[in-house]
Amino acid sequence: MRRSGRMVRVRRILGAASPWLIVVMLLLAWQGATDFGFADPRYLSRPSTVAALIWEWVRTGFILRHVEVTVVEVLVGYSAGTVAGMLVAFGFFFFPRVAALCDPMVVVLNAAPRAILAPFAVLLFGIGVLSKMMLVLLAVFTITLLNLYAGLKEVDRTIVDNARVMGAGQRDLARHVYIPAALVWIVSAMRISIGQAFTAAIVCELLGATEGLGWIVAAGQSAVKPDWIMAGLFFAAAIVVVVDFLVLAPLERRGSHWRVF
Amino acid sequence: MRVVIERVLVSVALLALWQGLPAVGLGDRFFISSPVAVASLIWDWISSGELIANVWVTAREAVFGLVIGSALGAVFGLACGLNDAISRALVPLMTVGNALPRLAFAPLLIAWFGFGLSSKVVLAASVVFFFIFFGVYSGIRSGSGLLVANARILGGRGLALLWHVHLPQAIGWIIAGLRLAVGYAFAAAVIGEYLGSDSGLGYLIEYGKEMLDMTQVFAGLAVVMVIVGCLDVILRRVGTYARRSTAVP
Amino acid sequence: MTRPLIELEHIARRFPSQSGREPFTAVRDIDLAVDEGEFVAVVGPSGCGKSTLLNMISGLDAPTEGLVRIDGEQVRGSVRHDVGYLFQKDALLPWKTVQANVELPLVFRRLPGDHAALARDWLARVGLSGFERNFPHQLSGGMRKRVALAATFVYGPRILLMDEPFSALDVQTRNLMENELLELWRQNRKTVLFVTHDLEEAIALADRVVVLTSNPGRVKKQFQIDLGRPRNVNEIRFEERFRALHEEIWEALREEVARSYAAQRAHG
Repeated sequence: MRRSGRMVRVRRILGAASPWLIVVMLLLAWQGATDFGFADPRYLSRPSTVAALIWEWVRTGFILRHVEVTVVEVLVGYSAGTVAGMLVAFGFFFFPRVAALCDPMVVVLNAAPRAILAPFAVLLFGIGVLSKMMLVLLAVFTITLLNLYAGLKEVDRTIVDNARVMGAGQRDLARHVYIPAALVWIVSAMRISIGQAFTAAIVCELLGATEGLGWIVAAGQSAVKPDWIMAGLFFAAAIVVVVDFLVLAPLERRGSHWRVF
Repeated sequence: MRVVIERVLVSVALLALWQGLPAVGLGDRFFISSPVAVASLIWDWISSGELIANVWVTAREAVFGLVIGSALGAVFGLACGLNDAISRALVPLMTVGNALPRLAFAPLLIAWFGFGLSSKVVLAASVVFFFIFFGVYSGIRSGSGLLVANARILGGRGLALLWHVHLPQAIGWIIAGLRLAVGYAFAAAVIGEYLGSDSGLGYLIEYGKEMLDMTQVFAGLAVVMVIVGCLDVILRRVGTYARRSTAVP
Repeated sequence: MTRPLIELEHIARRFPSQSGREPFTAVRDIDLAVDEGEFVAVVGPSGCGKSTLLNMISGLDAPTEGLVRIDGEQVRGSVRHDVGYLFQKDALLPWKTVQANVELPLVFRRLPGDHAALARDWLARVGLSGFERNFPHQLSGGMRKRVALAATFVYGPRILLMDEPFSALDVQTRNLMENELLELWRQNRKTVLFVTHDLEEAIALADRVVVLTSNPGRVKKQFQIDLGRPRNVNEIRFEERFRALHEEIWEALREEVARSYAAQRAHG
């Protein structure tokens, strides 16, 4: 059975386009259902309304301030959490007794997404940006700690022995072996935690804030304006996807051959 | 054994510190509450039956979400794992969907499905779905092509191939996905309750927050953490066992 | 008579096992002496503690009983600086270029001189000029072994410990590497302790072959290899004397291999 080259090409293009086709079909179905009265636009809104609202927010610059608030919260918490996670992971690695002592606490911290602690953060640190930063910090800290600690323990015994025979002291090992090995795990932790960081910030904003993307969604919820909720979530989702797929994923791919070759 | 004793000692010391700090003027009792107050509130909840009623609400949401999300995730995961055309169409969407901050979508689901059970079930299911989908999909895709090829030459086909070759290789991945999914299903139910509900553990916590009652927030979170922690430990055991019994050399 | 460079006296190494069972004895009652400039091969069935032996000589590990002396000086718990070690697994740093990997021991030892030039020189000697800026994952298994050889020779250790260094390579590459090793050894006259489970490789390379027993490892018998040098490992296998030696040593080794196999089966 042979297929002509043209058939193969058409199939390939169709294959690459199929995810987009699905999205377009879903949007059309949604629009149609609300336009022709199968669904109530007061609850479901409709794509054209949401798109118009998104455009209006961009045009008037209304959304900028809120994007900025959320991004700054995430950025601060994310950086602090990554650094803190790195420090503690190295601490655990070089002092295994401390690690054994703290193990149950880490298990508890890791068992559920940290966004669950949002009411606690709001009550303790108020409805300003601080509570969001702290929650993001905690979320990122745990992920970085666990990933990096596991990664450090997996650094190949032979590589360490080899470096020691070649004359490496503790500081040489840290600088030339452990820290470069750790970078790979830090990047992969950063990838895992970016979604959790935004989730934590937004959930925290939902429970108590005066600005930010989560506040927009919460305002839409209390005023029963589904187009506000959706447009707000659209911006949140767009930021996460852009950061993940355009920044962190390529970074992770570049470092992937460091792990094995 | 020794490390267990040390862990207990450290925990007791931390609790004592928490209890004692306000007494020496460090920290405000109003903000940090105290372990004794938290424990006695939990005891009140237990004896009044309030705890079991609210755990029941949250657990039901989580379990329904877990079952629905797992079933859908498994079906889609199998379809994408075994069929190239389907995987080309769906996996890019799933990858994006997986990256989204899904728990933040709770207000939308509450707007759609109301304050009751169904909005939390859908939220939990939407979180669980992706864990199971990627567990099954990656499990099948990362399995050894050699084993599949060999089984085919030996005459394996259809369901037999799936049951004897694909699934055993994927089981470790599926269990790992499931382990994460259980904790997240529970958390999704709780977060859904934060944003609109009239019962459940999340409601208790959120109510405590509204009343500025830190003791209630701590007590609610402690119950959630204990439940999720216990489930995690159990599933970890199950996972180790499953991996051992299907180890591929 | 001068003193041997490496001396092992009544060495035993036991590893504690989990859950209070009997400790695992890797090697015991090992007495061995290696002269300066000698090429000694150690053969034995798998799991007889060959690698443990090398770890104790390098100072990475310490014996539970007995003494290790190098040049009359006791090795105790710290890594020897006049030892080079070639591992079975790849031990190059994946995040450093070939050039940087070869310079690394010079950096670690804070040796004076032009590190870059020295590393380039050794890379040329192992036939890898032009690959300085590649990363390990871009090289074949044989090329990576050459980088490891260059990184070992570059700091001029007196003693070379080799733990089945070529066992992961295909047969052709392996023979090539064995010949290159013999050539490097002829030029530099290091003292070599070469662990392998391949008897042919041991006879083809070494001045002396030490046969270890199955677990726990002890020295069973030693054989002088009176084949001429320089040797070519591809051709020497066909010499009459090689075959006679092979037959004689295999006689001693066979029993141990069988015993080790039986023990493995008993443990499942």
